Amino acid sequence: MKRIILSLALIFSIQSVQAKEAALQNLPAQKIACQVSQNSLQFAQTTKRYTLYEQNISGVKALECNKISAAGLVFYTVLLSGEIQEARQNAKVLIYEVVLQKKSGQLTTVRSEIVDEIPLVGEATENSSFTLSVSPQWILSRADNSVLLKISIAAKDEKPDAFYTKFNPKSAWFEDLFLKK
Amino acid sequence: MEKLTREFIVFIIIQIALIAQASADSLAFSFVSPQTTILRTSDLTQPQSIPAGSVIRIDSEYLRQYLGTENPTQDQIQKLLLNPGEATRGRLVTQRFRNIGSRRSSADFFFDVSVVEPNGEIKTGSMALQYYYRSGFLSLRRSDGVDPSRDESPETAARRQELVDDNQQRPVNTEAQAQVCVSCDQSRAGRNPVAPLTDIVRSADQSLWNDYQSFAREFTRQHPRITRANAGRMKREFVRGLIDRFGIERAAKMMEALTAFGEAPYRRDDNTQRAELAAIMKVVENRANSNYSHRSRTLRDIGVSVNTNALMTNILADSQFSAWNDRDNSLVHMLSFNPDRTDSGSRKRMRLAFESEQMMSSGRITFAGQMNDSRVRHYHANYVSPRWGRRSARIQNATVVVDGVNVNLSNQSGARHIFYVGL
Repeated sequence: MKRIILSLALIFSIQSVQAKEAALQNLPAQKIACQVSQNSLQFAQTTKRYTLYEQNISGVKALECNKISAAGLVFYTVLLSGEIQEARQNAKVLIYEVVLQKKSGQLTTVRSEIVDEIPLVGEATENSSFTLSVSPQWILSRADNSVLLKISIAAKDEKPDAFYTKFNPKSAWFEDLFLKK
Repeated sequence: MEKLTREFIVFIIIQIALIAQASADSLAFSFVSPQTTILRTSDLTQPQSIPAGSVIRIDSEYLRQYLGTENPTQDQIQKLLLNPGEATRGRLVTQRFRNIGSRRSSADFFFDVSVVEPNGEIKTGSMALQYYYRSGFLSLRRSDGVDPSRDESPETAARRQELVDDNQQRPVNTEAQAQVCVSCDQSRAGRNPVAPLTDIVRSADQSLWNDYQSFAREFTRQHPRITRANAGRMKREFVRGLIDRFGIERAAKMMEALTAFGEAPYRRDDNTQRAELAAIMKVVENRANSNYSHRSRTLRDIGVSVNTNALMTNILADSQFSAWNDRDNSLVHMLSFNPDRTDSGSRKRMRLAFESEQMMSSGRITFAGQMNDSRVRHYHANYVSPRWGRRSARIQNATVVVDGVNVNLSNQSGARHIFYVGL
């Protein structure tokens, strides 16, 4: 009897994990070309230019651009570096930006994550290296057809810090998902 | 038997009356502490003590007419102070009062009084008219910012709370609390003796520092490891947690103090440290009051509109106060603050930040010269040269006045801030 109950419990837990996995689907990100000009960007296969979220950025380099299609929406992402003029100092930044292509073709920022930042004071210079990196993972939730973005930020030789964001169509932004207490 | 019962009842009634009288007497003085200070000199600088047994005489003709007396009872003064929005409803004309230039137009109006002390000495000065009652509950505070509850016994605190509750719900029985005038206006002979005015000012915001410490303990217990990699996410959890627990207005006040803690340079002298902290908060508030910034990644990330609270928006505005930058070591330090485990230096600086905020509210910290300008919205460290730093806009003598003492931040040695006006 005990063996039967344990077996049933095991089968149930496996099925619930499989059910959860089936409800979430990983979305592929397609690498595309992109070109930077001052503080705006041209993604391949788009007609409109995208103005970067950060308005006081200069020396922009686009490191990687991607395209993701999900739930009838088209997103672009760009990992870029540049120098921003903050209130007290200048800083070298590494930013992961997510862009939504509206039906009109207009491109708008829906998340701007500062992956790493090096204040340009003291010994830090433009050639100083970033120590943090980002690994995004796109997910479609079949339960409510919502688009999730898992962002992992890691320092070398450290366990990455990962958190989930969810696209809120009303605010047009990927908002943090907070665990309920 | 009947006679005995009757006499026993009379005896009980007398005892109750005596107890009530004794309690009322002690209640009348429950606010008085050796450090009672609600009187300042007429130029609103030096706080002075009002000893128990003193009689207050209002010198303001306007208020005498409003109250109908020049020797108000404690109840009358408390009713005056307790009426929320009296000024905004047009019943009190605030131009009749002197404003010490505090940060909020609804607070810190002063009117002239004379105080006759029990020894016959007469002092003149100004008394504060406080407006911390918009929420409808009684909020009293000491104008010197000191928390008298530190010295209170639990019994005194309980009796004071009863009086506070009574004042909110029904008028205090001033006859029961009446004291003999030392030298009242004889034209009012035959009226009830006047109760001396006691220090009735306490701050609701005394609890801000205590509330923050309790939140910080819980936050660091739930998130024991804050690093540069997770600091951005932890910041969002932190801000969201503050807002959920305290509401956005109170959370913004706490974050204002935290911003000062994260941004102000270290100073060994407490008053100079307070001045540095206050100067940061002055910049923050000037920005909020002028709606300087409208963009905040952090607020969007946690689903809060940038139009909800200008103070919060300007504190968390993109690339403005570096203490809140996602990968800044100051942020890691700030989020890791646990009052029970952090080093005593940081704990003291954090406490001074909250104290300085309260001292700015109570008028103990003010600003002089160009620092008093509402357009002071920029500063930077003296070891950087941002492109926006126009020399002509620099404040040469950034003076903060702490308890009447001028502190010139421009003269400090080592790392210091340079402030700008009108950028």
